[in-house]
Amino acid sequence: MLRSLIAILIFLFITVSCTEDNTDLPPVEERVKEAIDGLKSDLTAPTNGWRLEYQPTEESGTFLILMKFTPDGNVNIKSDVPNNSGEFFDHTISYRVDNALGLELILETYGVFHYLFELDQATFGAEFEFLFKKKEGDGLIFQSISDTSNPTQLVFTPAGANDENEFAREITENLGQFNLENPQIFGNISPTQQLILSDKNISIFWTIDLTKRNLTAEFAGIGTTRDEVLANSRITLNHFSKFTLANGQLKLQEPLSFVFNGQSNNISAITLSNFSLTGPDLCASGVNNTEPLYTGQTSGLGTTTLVNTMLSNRGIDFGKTVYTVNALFIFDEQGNSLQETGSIATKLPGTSGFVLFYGVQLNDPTIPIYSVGFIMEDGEIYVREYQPTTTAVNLFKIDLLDQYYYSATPPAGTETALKEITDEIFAGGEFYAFDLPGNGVQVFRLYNACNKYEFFLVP
Amino acid sequence: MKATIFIFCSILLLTGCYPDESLSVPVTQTDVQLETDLDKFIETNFREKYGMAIRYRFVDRYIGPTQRVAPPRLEVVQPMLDFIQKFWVDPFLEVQNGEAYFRAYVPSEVVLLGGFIYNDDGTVVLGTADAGAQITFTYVNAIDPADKEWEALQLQTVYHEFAHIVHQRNKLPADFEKISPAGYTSPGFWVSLSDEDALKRGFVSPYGTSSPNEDFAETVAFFLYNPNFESEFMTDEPSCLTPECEARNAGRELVREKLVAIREHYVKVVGVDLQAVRNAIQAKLN
Repeated sequence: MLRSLIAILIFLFITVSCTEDNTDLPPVEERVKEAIDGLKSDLTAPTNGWRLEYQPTEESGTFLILMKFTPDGNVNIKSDVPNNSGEFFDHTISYRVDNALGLELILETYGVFHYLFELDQATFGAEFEFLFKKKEGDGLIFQSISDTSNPTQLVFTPAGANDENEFAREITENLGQFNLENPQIFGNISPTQQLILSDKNISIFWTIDLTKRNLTAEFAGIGTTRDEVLANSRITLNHFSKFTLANGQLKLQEPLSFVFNGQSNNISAITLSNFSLTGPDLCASGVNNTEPLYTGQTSGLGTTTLVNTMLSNRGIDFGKTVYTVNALFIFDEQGNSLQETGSIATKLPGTSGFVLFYGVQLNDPTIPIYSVGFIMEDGEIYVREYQPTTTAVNLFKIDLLDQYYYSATPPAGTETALKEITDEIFAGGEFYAFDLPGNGVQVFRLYNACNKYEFFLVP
Repeated sequence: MKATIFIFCSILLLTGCYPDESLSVPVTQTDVQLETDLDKFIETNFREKYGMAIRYRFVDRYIGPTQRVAPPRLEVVQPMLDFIQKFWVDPFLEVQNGEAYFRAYVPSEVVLLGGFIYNDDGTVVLGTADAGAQITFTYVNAIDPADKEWEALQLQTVYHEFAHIVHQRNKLPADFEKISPAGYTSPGFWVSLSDEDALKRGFVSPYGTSSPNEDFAETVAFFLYNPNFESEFMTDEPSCLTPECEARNAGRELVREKLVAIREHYVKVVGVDLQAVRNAIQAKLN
């Protein structure tokens, strides 16, 4: 009896509760259209469009983006992303409000969001398909569709009439000139900048990713030039921060604070004011001084100068051992292999490998512990002795000596060839080591900033 | 009784509310908005003429759920359409029976994508065809017809994918897979082959060794696009004195046999002489 009563009550509850809805609720097609039209109406409503402070991933900095949607399906997008010759400063693409997982905003043709999306073979984590979540005050909240975990939240807020003045387009373009064209084999490396605090006689070295807008401050040292820093004490910083470029400033989202040489230092923003291509040559003996140079001010620390440098902790593990590599992996400034088309091919045919003996005693005591040269196809070794003069951070300075070693009597002319080839590779007498990120095998990329040659070594 | 109540209530819950909840609305609204000159151009010159819808606005169904790709720039769409017209459509229209073949076999949807399609495993997809219904052009944002590498990527892809539709509808030429049966490779092995390895096996490319269907499509694409097809794959090297040279010439014999079978097959099933199509394409490329 009780069960029958429960059944009747459930039946009545359901029937009554559904009756009113059935009469008022429009068909699904109408509701979908209404929802799409509603979001379109919201998107096109603000007089000055929308402002988005876009942070594609947790590791990236923030990009200021302004968007003005129009009812014809186009959206005008403004940003300070300087790539592709300023294409993304001001561009118009098409958009669509759709209904699939929910209400979606799809940016249908290529623009700044897609440029960021494609970085690192589309693994960076930016997006161009957004799921509408809710309205919040005057704003609209969207969520990334393409993030498989921890989806990016995007907050659209009505833009102000003067928001465009906040863009740091000149700075982003100028900073873009710090990007390095060399070394170039297996991709460029992110530049390391020397931030010179002249009033404090301190330099900070940070490696900066200008595309993703983050940096890692690696170390600081006393002095304002490379050689002064190398001659004095240094402190490891290992500080990561995202940054934003706006209102003429580079702003660190995680300020850098450290005590060094008895002084407290705190950097949260740098005002960048004067840019020129008069920075010091990356080759110590170079005289061109046409590298980028930015000057400005850091609050509380005074005059600040930003220049490129090759000094970096990224190759600090390059230590004493025997290094070898296939001779194919020695490249000139154009990226041509010396073994394929350069001096090795013409002067020392039959070369198989490249070898650098760096400070270790070998089974054969007649081989100089500091020597560099080649392994031939018949297994013989021809090397030239060198004397290391400076090894600090990732810099190696050497003097090539006119002392040679041969595992067997070489053909006539070998010594001349060996001298000329090693003189060519090590012109300027210094090179920098960098880790080559890979799949578990330690490989170093060696770069000579004086002739822009590069070669690879495997311990 | 409990079960009866449960079923009864379940039926009510499932059917009681929202009587008109049919899923008649497309999941994704992909209808082309004929608001721009570009859309009108596509409608007139491709959809109405050949029944071929050109998709350049991004819709995620164009790729798999684990793939990533960016759409094309608006500015490259019209030049890409011109490129497609000149090097894919026109050569077929210019040869006997070519127009009927093109109209009958052209996929209903051609998708333009801005970059390469990246898979989760780090591999890259250069172009795709979906059971004759869709052909996808990738890397369209880099359009530069003067760039031979870009041109080869686009044209070899489209000729390859268009050839797939022929065997999908008409099967392969009789006994095609028996011409070089020992040359086909196990899945994924083709990547370890060089061009010369493939030729010695009787194939125009390493990828052709992956299956008879790919062999068919690769042979058609290479024949149509490669200006040096004759010297690279048809004409034996004279005065062969090494086993390698003899192996290459043996491979060429197999390629010649395949090409004869393919050309006869095209004449038989679609009435088109592929040599005439090749001539038309080469005249435009030069």
